[in-house]
Amino acid sequence: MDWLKEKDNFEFDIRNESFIEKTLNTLLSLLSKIRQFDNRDRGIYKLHEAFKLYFTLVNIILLSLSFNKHFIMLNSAYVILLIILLDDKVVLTILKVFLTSIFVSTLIIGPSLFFGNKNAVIVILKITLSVVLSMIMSITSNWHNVIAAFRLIRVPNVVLFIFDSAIRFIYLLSKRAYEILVSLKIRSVGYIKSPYSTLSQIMYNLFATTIDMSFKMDEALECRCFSGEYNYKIYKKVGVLEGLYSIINLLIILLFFMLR
Amino acid sequence: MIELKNITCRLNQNLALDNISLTIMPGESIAIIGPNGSGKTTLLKVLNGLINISSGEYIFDGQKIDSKFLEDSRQRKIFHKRIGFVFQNSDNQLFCKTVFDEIAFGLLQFNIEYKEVEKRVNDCLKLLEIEHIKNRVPYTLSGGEKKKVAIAATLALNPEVLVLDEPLNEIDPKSKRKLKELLFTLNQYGKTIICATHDYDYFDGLFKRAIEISSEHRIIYDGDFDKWHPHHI
Repeated sequence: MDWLKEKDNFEFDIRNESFIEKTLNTLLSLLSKIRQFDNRDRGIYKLHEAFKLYFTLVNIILLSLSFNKHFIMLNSAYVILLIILLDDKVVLTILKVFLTSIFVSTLIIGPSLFFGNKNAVIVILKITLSVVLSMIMSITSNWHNVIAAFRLIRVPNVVLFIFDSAIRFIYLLSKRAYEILVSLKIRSVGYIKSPYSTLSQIMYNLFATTIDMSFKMDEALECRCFSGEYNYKIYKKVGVLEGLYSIINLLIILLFFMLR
Repeated sequence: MIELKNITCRLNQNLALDNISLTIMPGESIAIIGPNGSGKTTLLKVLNGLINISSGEYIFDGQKIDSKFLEDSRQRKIFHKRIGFVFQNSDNQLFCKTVFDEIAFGLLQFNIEYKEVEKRVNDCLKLLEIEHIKNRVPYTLSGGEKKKVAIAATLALNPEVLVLDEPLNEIDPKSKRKLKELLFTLNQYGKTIICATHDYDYFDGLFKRAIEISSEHRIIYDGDFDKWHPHHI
């Protein structure tokens, strides 16, 4: 044990280990997205998720059905209005999604323009608007409440419970993966000789944890007398904001039929 | 009320409990003590009917608890209503989308009026001093807060026997004192308290009986808590 009394003087190479940093950043962003469920209580974030979910779905369906330029323009204006109501950081995320969607759909549909497809531009716009609309809904909503909103269309309890648990597992496992990676980062002085085998070990650890967690959750359900009853209430009151949101969306639906 | 007769338990072929026999009467407060890996958690899980025993007999209030008994979902529900379990790792115990739902979960499995459910949930929130987090997502809470929510969720079912596995983990000193007071009050109300812990100093005055399990998975002390000496472990 004499080595414990002396100072080490090891030599080591330092290499770029951006894979740890990148994975850590991705996990952090995922964790913060889920954590944000607790801190959103103003503006569009406060809006009842059932309203957001169903009006977004209707809007996307109407967009896919319509080939009227005026209706698509009207929807574009609506999307811009929604974007104005978002936080700066979120706007930046939406902008990235918007540009990616434009780029990918132009790459796929764009060439058909040269072969006489007059609707190519409209289709690209429709795809982009649909992607941005769903993105806005996803970013501004508590995912658990979105799942609860599906209860209104009589999705079975057990399906919703599985979705709800999936979000919880994603959060807890991401947190665990983050902690393991941080520990790997601080212990791997120098460089990791085989990063991919280390990552596969981490994945194995997470897989084993998932199995263990699911068994223990089953035990916990058992202890709490689970018989299939699961509460799917959304603890938000329907107020002026929901009223305004409904009026705007009902107007859009009305205009869809008028402009046909 | 609880009787374990010559219980032996193996987990993945490894011996976890070796020939354990004990009797627990209603209203007792018992500390389960032992080194890591001695089988404390396994014993608590056996008491809650969560683990199949390899040999021996478990009798709860005159009823033999075996796989046949636990196959009947109605009987199983009644049994779990009577004996509540607070897990060592709260992450495994919390699965609802808000703290309020978490505490109400067990009650909603029974035909209880929602008003009564709300009343009990609010009382539990108050008892554990977690009213301010009632609308938060449980799995994003701190370790100590999760533990309190897990205790409140178990307490809401008003079990006759409260089994706790390392309840003081991650809890701050002030909350530890509060939890001790709470357990003391519950014991005075006639609840049986069975608690696996390493922090027995914090529970000074609460436990009347100590059961020590050795690293060989056998009971090496079962008697007065005050007469039990830490040198056993």
